[in-house]
Amino acid sequence: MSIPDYMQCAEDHQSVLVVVQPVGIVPEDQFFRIYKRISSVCQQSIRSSQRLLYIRYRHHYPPENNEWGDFQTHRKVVGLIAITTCASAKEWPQTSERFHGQKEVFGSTLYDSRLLVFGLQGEIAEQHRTDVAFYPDCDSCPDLERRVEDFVESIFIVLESKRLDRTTDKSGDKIPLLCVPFEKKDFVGLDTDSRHYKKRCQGRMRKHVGDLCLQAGMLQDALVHYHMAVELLRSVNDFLWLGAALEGLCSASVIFHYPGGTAGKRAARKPSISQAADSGKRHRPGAQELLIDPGALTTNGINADTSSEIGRAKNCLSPEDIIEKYKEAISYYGKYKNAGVIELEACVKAVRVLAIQKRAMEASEFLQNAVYINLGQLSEEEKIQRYSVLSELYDLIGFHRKSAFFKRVAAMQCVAPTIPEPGWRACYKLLLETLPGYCLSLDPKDFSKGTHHGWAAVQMRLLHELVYASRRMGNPGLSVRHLSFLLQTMLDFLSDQEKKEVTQSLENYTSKCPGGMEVITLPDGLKFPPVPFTKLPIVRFVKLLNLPVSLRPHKVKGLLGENMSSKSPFIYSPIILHNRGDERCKKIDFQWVQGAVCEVQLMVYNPMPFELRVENMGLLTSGAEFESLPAALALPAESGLYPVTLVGVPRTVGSITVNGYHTSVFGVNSDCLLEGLPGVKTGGCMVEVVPSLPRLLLSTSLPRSPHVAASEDISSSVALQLFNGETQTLTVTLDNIGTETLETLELSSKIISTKEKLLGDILNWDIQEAQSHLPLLPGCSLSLTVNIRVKLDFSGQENLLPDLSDDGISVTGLPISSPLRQVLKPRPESKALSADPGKNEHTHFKTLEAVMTFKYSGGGGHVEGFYRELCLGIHVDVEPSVFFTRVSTLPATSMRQCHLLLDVFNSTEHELTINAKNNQDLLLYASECQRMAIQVDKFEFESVCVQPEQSQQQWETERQQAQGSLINSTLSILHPSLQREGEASVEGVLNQLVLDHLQLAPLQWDVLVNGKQCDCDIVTDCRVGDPVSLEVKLTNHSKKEVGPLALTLVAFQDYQNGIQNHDLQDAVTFIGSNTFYIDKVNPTFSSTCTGALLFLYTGDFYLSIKFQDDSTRRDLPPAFFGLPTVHIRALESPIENGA
Amino acid sequence: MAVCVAVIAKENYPLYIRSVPTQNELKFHYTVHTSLDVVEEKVSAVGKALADQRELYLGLLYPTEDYKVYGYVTNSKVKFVIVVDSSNTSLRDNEIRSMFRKLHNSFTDVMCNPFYNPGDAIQSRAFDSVVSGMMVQAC
Amino acid sequence: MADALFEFLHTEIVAHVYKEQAQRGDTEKERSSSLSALEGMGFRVGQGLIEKFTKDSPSFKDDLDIMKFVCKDFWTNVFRKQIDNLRTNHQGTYVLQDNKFALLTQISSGKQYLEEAPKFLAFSCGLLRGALSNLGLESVVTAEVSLMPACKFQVVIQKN
Repeated sequence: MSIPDYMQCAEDHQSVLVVVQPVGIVPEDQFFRIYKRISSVCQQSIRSSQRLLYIRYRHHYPPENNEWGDFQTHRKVVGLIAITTCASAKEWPQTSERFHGQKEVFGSTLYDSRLLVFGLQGEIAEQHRTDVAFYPDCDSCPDLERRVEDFVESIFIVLESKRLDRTTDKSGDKIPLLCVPFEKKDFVGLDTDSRHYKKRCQGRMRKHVGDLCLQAGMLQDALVHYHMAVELLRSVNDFLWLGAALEGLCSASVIFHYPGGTAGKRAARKPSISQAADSGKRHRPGAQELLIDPGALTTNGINADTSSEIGRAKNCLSPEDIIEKYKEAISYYGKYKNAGVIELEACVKAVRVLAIQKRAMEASEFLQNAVYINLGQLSEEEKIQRYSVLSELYDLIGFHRKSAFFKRVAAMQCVAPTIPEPGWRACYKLLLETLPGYCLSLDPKDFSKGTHHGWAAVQMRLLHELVYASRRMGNPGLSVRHLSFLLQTMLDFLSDQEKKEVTQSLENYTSKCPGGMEVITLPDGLKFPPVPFTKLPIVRFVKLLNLPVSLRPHKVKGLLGENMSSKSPFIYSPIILHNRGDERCKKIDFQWVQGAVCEVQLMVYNPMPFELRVENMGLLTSGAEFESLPAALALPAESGLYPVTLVGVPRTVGSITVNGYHTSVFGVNSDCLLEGLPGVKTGGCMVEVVPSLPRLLLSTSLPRSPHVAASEDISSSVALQLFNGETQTLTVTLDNIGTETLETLELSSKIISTKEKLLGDILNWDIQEAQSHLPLLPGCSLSLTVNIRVKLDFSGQENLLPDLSDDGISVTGLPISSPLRQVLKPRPESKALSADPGKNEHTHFKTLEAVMTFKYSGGGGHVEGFYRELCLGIHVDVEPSVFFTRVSTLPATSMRQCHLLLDVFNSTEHELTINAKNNQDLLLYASECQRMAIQVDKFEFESVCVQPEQSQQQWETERQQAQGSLINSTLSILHPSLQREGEASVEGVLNQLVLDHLQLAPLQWDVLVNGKQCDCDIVTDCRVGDPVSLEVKLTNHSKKEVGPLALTLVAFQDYQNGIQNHDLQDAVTFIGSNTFYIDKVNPTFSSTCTGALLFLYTGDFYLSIKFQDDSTRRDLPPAFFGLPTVHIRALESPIENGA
Repeated sequence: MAVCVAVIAKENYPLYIRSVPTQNELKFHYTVHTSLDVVEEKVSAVGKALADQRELYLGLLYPTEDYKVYGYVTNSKVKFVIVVDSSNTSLRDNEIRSMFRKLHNSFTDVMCNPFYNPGDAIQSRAFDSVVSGMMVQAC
Repeated sequence: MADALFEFLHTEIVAHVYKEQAQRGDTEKERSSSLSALEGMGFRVGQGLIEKFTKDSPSFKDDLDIMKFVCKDFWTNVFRKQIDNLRTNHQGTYVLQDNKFALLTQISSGKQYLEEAPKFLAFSCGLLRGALSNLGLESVVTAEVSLMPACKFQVVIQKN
């Protein structure tokens, strides 16, 4: 006997063995259908008695096992059912022959046999034979089970007869010796008459009888017989059979104690409805328990009638004893190497019993022993079966790890090198079954948190084997899945070398079969969940980025109430509901625009010691539709935090939540959800998308500025260099490069705060012209003209600049209106320049920065109240053009006008021309200073409106501005070489003295000669001999009354050489008095004095009007009393005819 | 002299496992792993068994062809497993006990080290040297 | 002399932890985090100590055995006296009563400073919890004081 039957258990000892075999060719499915039906008859109660018969069926039984039938009767085939198909009567004899042949195989032990013929009809089928049954086909055999039952009955009859035969064998001495096959030769030539021999024969026979009793359903008898046999055999040291007897004893006890069977996982045998033991009690309610001392039994056997009187409890072994006896039996078996199979089976049976008794330690010892039983040369199949069974048994006793271990060994055995056709599928299946034993589940979610459970080295080995097996099995998808599982969960435990190897092999596999996120289902229903690579790379931070400044949507204020808060309920709620502290629910406070490219920044980390190539990395989003544009990147080995920007375009309006990202690494696609990654920090993942807005591109006529803009908001900037006072135009072109129509456009500007004093507006434009182009379709453009004019106050620099006062030429006393040309004398070194030497000594740039903001909107965004802004930065470097280094006035010769003397310094490097409105051109070379005089009307300060709230300073400023603008209007600068022109401003240069001079005196004096107004340069003509009327009018514009005053007129002649002649009594006479008296003049009143002169000679005469010293004059400033000089030219009167 | 020494946490994962380098280490992993079954069985049996069976030393867990595996469990349910060569018959029970004692002492020191977090792998050099002292020296 | 060392150290630990917390800002959340810090410290120390003390003792039969060991040997080793009274409801709840708890004796012996007591008990609660945890019993330990220096530790074993 070479093949152990691992499925045997102790209760099989009470069953009879029936073999069901096909004769000839029988289709397999048909055969097994019949077989199944036959096997259903496994338990039968015998009609004539209350005993129960158990039948075991086999469709395959090696004949050599049959030879051990004497040793243990349940091993011999006592019944044969042959199944055959026969189509015609012609084949019948042949079939019949074959049947007989098969019977011969088991002939020595067969009690009875049957033949079932399918498919034969006709005369032969009509025969009524007990040993052959004819059926037309396998589906129409309703009485099959009954036939089998009959068959079993007949077997029982034979069995019973044999039992009785043996039991009551009174042949005395001549008991044959029962042997096992390998023993036969040992007993040749032995003395058959010795007591020893006789006892041996008796013992063995006793044991055999016990077996038969057990099979016949007589438990008590069997127990008694076994006990006796044990005694007998022990005394002769017949170890093998002693072991068998002990085993039989154990089996019987097991059957008694565990009616449910010890088969474990197999369908437990139905406990017999009425056991032989109980039946005795039932029928004899008053029967006492009798103890039959086994020793009291004679060799003649027990009377069959007393069998039901035999007490039961004491003969049966206690559960602990069962194990003891098993141990003993096995130890005896162990002495015989040919009894390996018996030994192994006994171990297995004992283990099953121990499993039920829950004595795992001892069970494991038995199993340990079982592993080492040498069964000779086993085929690979057998080895596999052995290990599998061992594994199952270990599982039964709860040693899961050991069970897993043996299962793995079995799996390895499936594909041992000696097997011609390795069973990779079976190997794979077995390996999968070992997983729970090693605490390995194939769901990566179990590994995401907490410490690693299980033994990393072992688990890795197992996973590698799974990968290999699945590959050999021909399922590359599974290999990829397992390998990615290994990489994902065991990343921390792999060494650098291993990481490289694993990733390389992964790439090999995925080149044939890319890995994905679907659940792989095996044909037998096992599911493998997807394994996303959350650690390659590790994402630490997810941040949604705001759009670039020029593309950000701004909300028009005032539309709060109409906001689409329906889409985002959290926006304006002051109550924070359900603050779980989960920052992912946080709403981001900026918005994205539909149709614009939006970015999400991830900080990732590459844990591998080599470069990691990630392809097709994109975002997973939910909510509004978001078209994610995949990125590919290569992360350096063990990089630190590396920023990765993923972009996408929202295609619809709504709310977008970034749920995660997807990557393709090593050919495996993974979808990683952020909620499954506990280590990721994010500043909020939900962002709102507003409807699309138009997009404008700004270009300018001026070159781009290399300057860094003052703030990042400015999308572009231009730089110019201007001279102070110059105007430059800038053409701004806006191209609609988006997909929406531009509907509204607004422009505003802002000067970036500067310490410079600005004079006037810098930027000037006409928006109406641009707005006439709206709505602007995509692809079109409009342009806008902006005037940039700079006027800065460069005052304060004058002290650094040369002026002409050092020349020694006094200011006063210069001839009027003669521009002087002075050559600049070199400046003395004593005046040190405070500016740094690197700078140009005379020129000092001032920079001015302004920002122009274009607000535009259109399309869907406009409907919702959003707009975009484009900012243009304007950076102007202002060079001073001319400096008025000194302003002074010529002494007031006129009441209404004043000559301003301006020392003009050309601080540029080019020549320029200053042109005053009165057509005086002054050409200045570079760094030249000249004096020019302009005539300016005096004006009243009071005419400048004074607001009562203004402070004194503000008033002063305004006053100066007003004056300056009046003066400025007379000046303009031309740079002929550069073709540039601008305006020069005297603002800020005017000092108080000048102002005083400019001030129109509040006392307005008018002198009229002959009705004509007199002023500095007006020459009044008159005729000699004619009376010249003279009027002096005083208008009091001041707030106080003036007067009384006295005026005296004095005439003189000026020889223009510094000498004046006042001696003119002969030449000029006054008609009347030359003294005028003016009374008090109230404010806003005027007073006029009249007089007359007579000139007696021709010539140029001057009149000076002097004040007499009066007390009232002292209260008022002398400037109020400036009177114009009167210049009268007396001309020859024409000779009149007749005079 | 041991060929393999392992320390297993009470959740049954290894805190420390070290074996003679010449052998296939994985084999020892398997051996120790499967011996855990026996250890658990014994530990649970202690509760049901008689009161005098309360030693920390578990004795021989199971013999294999080449090795003998011994076990020991502390009161904090940390298990020590020592694997010795079967051929080394000179090793007596007392010696095994003393090896376990040394391991326990060294482990207690590791435990009291404030820089060691219970549950982490043991990386203490002192522990390493104690273990080296009781392992078969590789030639 | 050596006896007082741990008590001084303990007082300083409590003061230090609370000073740190005060520097970070005084809110309700912060106050409880100091207690957690102290308890956590005690936990780790308890784990190490119990490993040391049970090195030579045989394994325990059951929970009650463990609690008795803690009351007698463990408490003596740490606080130089035993627990005075152990009560249980045999359903996993134990009350350990110490009538003269070493860490409280120097603070007061009456009702004075009663509100400060919890600070000084956090560490010991952690110590108990750590010791029990290493012996295989997950528990929740709380302490209460009604009259210094006596205090009661209540241990509820978590069964899952």
